[in-house]
Amino acid sequence: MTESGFAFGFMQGFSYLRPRSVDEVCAVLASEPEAHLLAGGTDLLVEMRNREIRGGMLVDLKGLRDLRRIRLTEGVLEIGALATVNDVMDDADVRRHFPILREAGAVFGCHEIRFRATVGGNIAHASPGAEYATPLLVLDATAVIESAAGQRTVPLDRFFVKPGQSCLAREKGEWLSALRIPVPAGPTAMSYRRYSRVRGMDLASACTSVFVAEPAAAERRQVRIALGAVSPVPVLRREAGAHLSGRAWTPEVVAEARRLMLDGIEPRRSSIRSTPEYKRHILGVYLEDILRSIDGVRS
Amino acid sequence: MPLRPDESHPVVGTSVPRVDGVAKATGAARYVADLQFADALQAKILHSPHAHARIAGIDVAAANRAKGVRAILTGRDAAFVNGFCIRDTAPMAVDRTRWYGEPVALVVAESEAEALAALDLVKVDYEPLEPVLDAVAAAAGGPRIHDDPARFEHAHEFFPQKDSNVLHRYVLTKGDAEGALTQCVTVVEDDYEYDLLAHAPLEPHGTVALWDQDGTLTVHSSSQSPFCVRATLAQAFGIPFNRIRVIVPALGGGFGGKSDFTVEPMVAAAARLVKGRHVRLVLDREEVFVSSLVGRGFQMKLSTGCDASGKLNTFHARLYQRSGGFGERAINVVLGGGHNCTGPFAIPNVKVEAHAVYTNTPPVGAFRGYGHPEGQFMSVSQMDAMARRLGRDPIDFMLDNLLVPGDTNALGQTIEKGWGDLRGCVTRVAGRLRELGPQLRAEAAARSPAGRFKAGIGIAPFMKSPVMATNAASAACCRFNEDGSVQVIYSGTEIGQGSATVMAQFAAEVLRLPVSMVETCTEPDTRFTPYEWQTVGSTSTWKVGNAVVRACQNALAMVRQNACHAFGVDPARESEVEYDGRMLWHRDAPDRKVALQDVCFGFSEKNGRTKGGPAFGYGWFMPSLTVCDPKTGQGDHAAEWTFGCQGAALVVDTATGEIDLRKAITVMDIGRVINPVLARGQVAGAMVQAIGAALSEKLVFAGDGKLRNPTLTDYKIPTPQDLGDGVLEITFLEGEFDDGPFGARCMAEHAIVGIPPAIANAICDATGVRMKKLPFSPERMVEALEVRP
Repeated sequence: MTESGFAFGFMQGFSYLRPRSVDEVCAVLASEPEAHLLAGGTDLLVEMRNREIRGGMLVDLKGLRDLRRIRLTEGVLEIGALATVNDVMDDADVRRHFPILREAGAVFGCHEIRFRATVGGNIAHASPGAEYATPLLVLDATAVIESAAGQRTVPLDRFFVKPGQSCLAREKGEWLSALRIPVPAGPTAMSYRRYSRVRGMDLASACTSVFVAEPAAAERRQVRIALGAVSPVPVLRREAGAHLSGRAWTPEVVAEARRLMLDGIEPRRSSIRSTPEYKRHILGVYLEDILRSIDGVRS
Repeated sequence: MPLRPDESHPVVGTSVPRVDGVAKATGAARYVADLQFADALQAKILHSPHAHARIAGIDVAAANRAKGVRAILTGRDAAFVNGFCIRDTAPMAVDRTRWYGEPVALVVAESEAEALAALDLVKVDYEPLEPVLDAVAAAAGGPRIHDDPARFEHAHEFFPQKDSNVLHRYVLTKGDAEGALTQCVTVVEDDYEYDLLAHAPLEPHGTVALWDQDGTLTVHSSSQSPFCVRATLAQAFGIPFNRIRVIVPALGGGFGGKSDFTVEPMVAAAARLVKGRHVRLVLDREEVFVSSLVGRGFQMKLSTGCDASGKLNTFHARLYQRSGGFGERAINVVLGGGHNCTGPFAIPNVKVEAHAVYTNTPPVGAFRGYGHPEGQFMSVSQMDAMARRLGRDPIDFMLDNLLVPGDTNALGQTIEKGWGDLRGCVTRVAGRLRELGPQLRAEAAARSPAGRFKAGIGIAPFMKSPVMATNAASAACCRFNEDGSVQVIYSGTEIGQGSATVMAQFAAEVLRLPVSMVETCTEPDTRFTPYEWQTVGSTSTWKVGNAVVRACQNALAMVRQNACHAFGVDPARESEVEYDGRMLWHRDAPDRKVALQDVCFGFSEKNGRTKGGPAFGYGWFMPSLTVCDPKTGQGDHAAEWTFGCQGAALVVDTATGEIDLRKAITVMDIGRVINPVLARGQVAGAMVQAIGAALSEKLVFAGDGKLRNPTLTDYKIPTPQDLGDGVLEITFLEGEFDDGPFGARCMAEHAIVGIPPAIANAICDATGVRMKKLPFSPERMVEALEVRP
């Protein structure tokens, strides 16, 4: 859009490269300032079509087969950046340990999109309402970051910087290669809920994830809560989680947790998807519903 | 008496598979965007970023010099105005832009990429003006969007208001509503709003135009209305109709958004700058939202009154349509919305004041239902509210006030028995709802947390008629081939509704041939195919069907005349010839038979001398209509009414405000069902589109008039996941109907009318809260329920 008006078009001025190794990706990103990483393409192609990205080099990661793996080793599940949503949905370890990732996957786009879209892309794109952000936040996930300078890891709650921007240093050629999730030792309960305008394909207008370790033992409970699409980045609500940890969930405790969870959460008025008032309201309802369902499972 | 299908081998009344089904399911069908022209130039639109602005200047010099550019069209280059009701509609902005997204310039280049690159070089100097988005406010005063609507050329039945934003004020009067209202014992007054909506057809609009050097214009377009496009182009360029050819290839839906005309005049104007080359424009999805047509957009106020006996006595409605920046395609929606907004109720005193009002929003056009959903959302909601005010069951109250044969409707038409079994529809829906209500209430009450889930039922009787020009004709030809197969030719468009299949069924039934021997026209071409006013208003089965039946009857009469030569009988006695689908014989000589293929091209004697000729039949249909009386607004302006009733049963989550629609019911008297599967498909589609309007669809404009959701990401149409299995219940009554082919009534869009009020009434039944603005989003629900802290 210019001051003169707007128009729509597609795919001009892009070059394309399909590296064969992690090192090759790192080398390209180190030397190419206008590189755009292509994994599933479900966000990138939309941006190209909307002319939000005009030209540059498309670096197609799909040649890196290894990055599609989902592996459980030494108590840590590693989801390669190219694992699609359906890969995650179908994975036996995910099914066993992290049903919340299947809950989020089940409402992610539509079945066709889930064959292309990657969990890594969903996180790297750093959308405030990213479907996988809040589940991975409450699961204590870590981002694995590659660059020509080597590998580093960042806890996911420090990964998101602002809408559409992560801590990946583009000038250093950094990119996200995997997500790591520690497998909890004892029993757990976890749930993802989101509000969307229709039940069919939609983005989350507001979403929340709740993770509870040792749900059946009130005094040992550990609770983590995250919110999405209500702040510039998906956020862990530590105080609310702490308030629910190690104690029985009386109505007063839950009400205070709800207050703490929403304290300082001020969704932007300009969102087209819902009102700030409703987003805060629905997240409170979801928290109570999730806690009730977890307590209900126990009894 | 309507025609009846053959008793032993009926074609009419059976679910014949779609004749276009394989082509569309396999991708073989060719839409405008699929058409290939080796010399085609590509056009791209520069859209206004302002909803209301003066255009101080447009500089196209740099863009003109850009690589590949062949022409640039601006509003000043395309200086013509179109309209038959009101001549106010320019193909692009001239000196002033009236809505966000209005075309300001069109670049024509060798490739789409070059056109886009050149668009960035067009410089437009805007001076923003205050936008007017609210129809009531715009009607009352405020910034003027056109200098004076009264100065536009217009048909005499329209009343543009001098020096205002009101381009039509339709007043309908029956009895004395204003006087009677003061005498009413119970009066309910309320405001309602049906927001602006998008049609969102699968196929975006596209047009390819070519001017030959000799001044002939050929246009391929995704249009529901090729003859209207032709008339529009003739008006635009001042050339005779015979020099214009409009061809419609396969169409991927329209819902009214491809009726009248859309981008065709602009593309044709651009093509005139590059004579001898095709110019192609296919809209992107966002452009369909901002640069074709939108729908609805009614703000309404209603006062209704009952007498001491609890009978509905008085109805006074004021309607304001946000017509958009141009009104030609919106103005008749206001007339139709005005004349049917009472709903199917008997009311002695009626006054309707319906206004089409210029606003700085995209132009409104026809949209599935055409005025009926708007007004009847208001009236049926208010009937429910009135019943509750009176302490009566809404179903009983509505049953007591239904139109019955002998009553007059608001237009002054006397209801006849043959118009359909309205009461039968309502009682069937009522019976089903009264089963569902207690079941759902018990189920909701049993859910935890206690009291959170609330169930309710709502009913909505409805009526609909096609709103048409008084000479909205259909014509058809039936042409026999040498082997006895036939071509049935007409210009009704196959827009996905199944008309090509239904016309094949009519022809096969009349001609007693298998459907496989009938080829129906699916690509209207104004150079060759017979006249059709427009494919709108659910009229194809009825109107085109009548023309096809007559054409086939006439072709068959010619076959019989040919056969007379074989039997040595005067061809004037063709009615004495019997025919069984394969053989013909004279009734007095049943042993002497000739085969159809031996007489469909004349009859050849042994020596080769041939008498008679290739069999051909022409048929036409003209509705019987008048314009409305300028004083009362009454008249025979509704050609055929179809009656029905809808119902909703739902559960409201009072904590989240979410509505779980458990059943949506439609019962309609549609005369004879021609193709049960297709008929159900039309009704199901209309119901789902209505559910979208009721629960999630809405065009969202910012305060500055910018459309914030011109994408399917943020304009939320329902998908299959939004409806559980078995939510839709559809029943047809088949009352006798004389005026339709084999007794078929108009039936396709109708099921969009009653769903929103049925849902609103069910919400009220469940929660006591009256929802008056569509859509009933969870945000609006929790606000209304006051559960939010």
